Amino acid sequence: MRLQNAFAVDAPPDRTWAVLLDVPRVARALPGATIEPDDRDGAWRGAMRLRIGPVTTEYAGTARLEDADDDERVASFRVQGRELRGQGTAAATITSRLTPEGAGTRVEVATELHVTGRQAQLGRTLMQDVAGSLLDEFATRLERELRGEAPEESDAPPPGADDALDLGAVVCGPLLERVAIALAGMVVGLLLGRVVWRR
Amino acid sequence: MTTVAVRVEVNGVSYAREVEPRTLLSDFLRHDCGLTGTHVGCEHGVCGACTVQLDGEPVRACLLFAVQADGRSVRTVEGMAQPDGTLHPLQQAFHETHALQCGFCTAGLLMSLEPWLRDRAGGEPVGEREVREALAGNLCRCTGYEAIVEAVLRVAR
Amino acid sequence: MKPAPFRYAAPRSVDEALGLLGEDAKVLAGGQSLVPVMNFRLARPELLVDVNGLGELAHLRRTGGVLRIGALTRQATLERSALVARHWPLLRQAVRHVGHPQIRSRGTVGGSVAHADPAAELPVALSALDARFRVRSAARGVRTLTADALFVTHLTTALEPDELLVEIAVPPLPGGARTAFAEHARTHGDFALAGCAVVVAPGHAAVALLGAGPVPRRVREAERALVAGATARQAAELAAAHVPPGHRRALMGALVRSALREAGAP
Repeated sequence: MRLQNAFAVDAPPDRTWAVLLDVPRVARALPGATIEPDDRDGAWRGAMRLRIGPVTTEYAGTARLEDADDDERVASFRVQGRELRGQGTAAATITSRLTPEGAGTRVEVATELHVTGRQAQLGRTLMQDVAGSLLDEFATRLERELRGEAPEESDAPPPGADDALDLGAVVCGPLLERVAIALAGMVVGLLLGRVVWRR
Repeated sequence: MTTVAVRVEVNGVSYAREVEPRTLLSDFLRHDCGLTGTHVGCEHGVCGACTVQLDGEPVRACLLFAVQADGRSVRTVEGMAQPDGTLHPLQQAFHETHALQCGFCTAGLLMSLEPWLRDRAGGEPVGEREVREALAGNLCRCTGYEAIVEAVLRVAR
Repeated sequence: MKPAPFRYAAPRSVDEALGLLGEDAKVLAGGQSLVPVMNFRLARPELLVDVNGLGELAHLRRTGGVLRIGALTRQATLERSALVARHWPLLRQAVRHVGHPQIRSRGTVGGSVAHADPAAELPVALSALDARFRVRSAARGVRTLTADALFVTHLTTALEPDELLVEIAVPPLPGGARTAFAEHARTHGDFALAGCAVVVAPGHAAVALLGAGPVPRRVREAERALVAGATARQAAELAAAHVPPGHRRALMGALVRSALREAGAP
């Protein structure tokens, strides 16, 4: 499944590019994510905790930077993960492209997401919408990070902390339960993949 | 005989063991973890019977040392079915089309096909030719592959 | 069969790895060629230096038009890369013929080069692309080799026992270049009997043969002929002359002709 999203940040492309390829800084912008400080065999192990209303789903997996084009500022990440309490798995290739926009940068994100397990039955439109909202949240945090306003924590919050991604505000009503299942598969691809790994 | 301490997560369960560096992952899974679903056919990477998934990607367990899987996540065929026994769609399809006879190559096939199908989902339609090409890394002596191809096409639909 | 006992080291930096290399050590990268040989006990290294932890060698990056392939880049990564598909399609065309997906998950580009199997696809493709190979040692620092200098004979490169291949640099293809890779093997994923990697561009051509000797062979006379306007058939004849007459020559001729046509030669 192909998802396309875009957002803008208020920082020049060169600096945004440097941050995009800097793991700890991008991790700080990811709510609900935890990452081990060191890579293992070139991949960074992480976990993602999602809470939607009463439903919490936890994912564990790896992410790696697959290729980077300094000339055109395009980077691809490969993310894979499995549900901790379930049989679902997911894999995603996330390609980010930076272009100048005014004094800032436009970030286009194209995600090729593949899931197995029950999460595989979800609507593309739903995923697209939720992905959009999640990236908006991420963009806001990333922008703060780029401006140097983010809190100076070296570790992302540990699993079990309250800083799980809370999507109660994102969707509501009868969609809520469907989204709970949808996100299990989808977000591991999107959000784990937003974390970039230092070479 | 020097040994090394390793901790490998297999199907979500952590196995802490002492192994020689030369212990192959295939033997570690079978003897040290007691997970004999992974089979050993040729031990030089050709037959595919030992295929498992390492961090989501299909690999030959006979060409990896257990020490290399330290701190990493392995998935074997035992991790495919649900805890209540419900078969994975691929397993179910294999069952329906009689894609296994002696079953020796089956685990390797399932472990190889799952990520292959996953990476194709929602993309171009999967045809018989692509499936046969995907099967090239797994040898089956019993079935002649027809039923296996059919099982994959069923799941891909 | 199981391998003979060995000492195992997993260095966390290239410097640390270089300090471990020597006569009795073998580098373990993807292991897809080394471990089978160890399992058969044809190779019994005293020390296995596992370089998989060297993240600094795993990059795949285009900078200033040049593709820098870290030696530890997985073949599957090369295959998936949109960057490579767009700017160096020959690499993608070649890597799809390497073994099977399970092999490509672990096999590395550097490993394929350092192993130098005469039937390997990546050395031939990299040769056709005029790649440069960077090797490092603790004693002598960095040196850069061309394909001709690196590939010496069957399964033998110019790498000294204390040297590690760290990166492969591939220059940009000339404007308007089209590429193709062709090979023939008895079954998909099997060792190729013959093959070629070609580049066709205005004012430039590359024809590299697989299976016409113990190392990748660039056929300069075929390249010059193509630039001068020769047809695919004519260039293929020049290339096939490097293979002993008979079935293999006919096979090579057909493969080169087909690849050149695919790459747009007349």
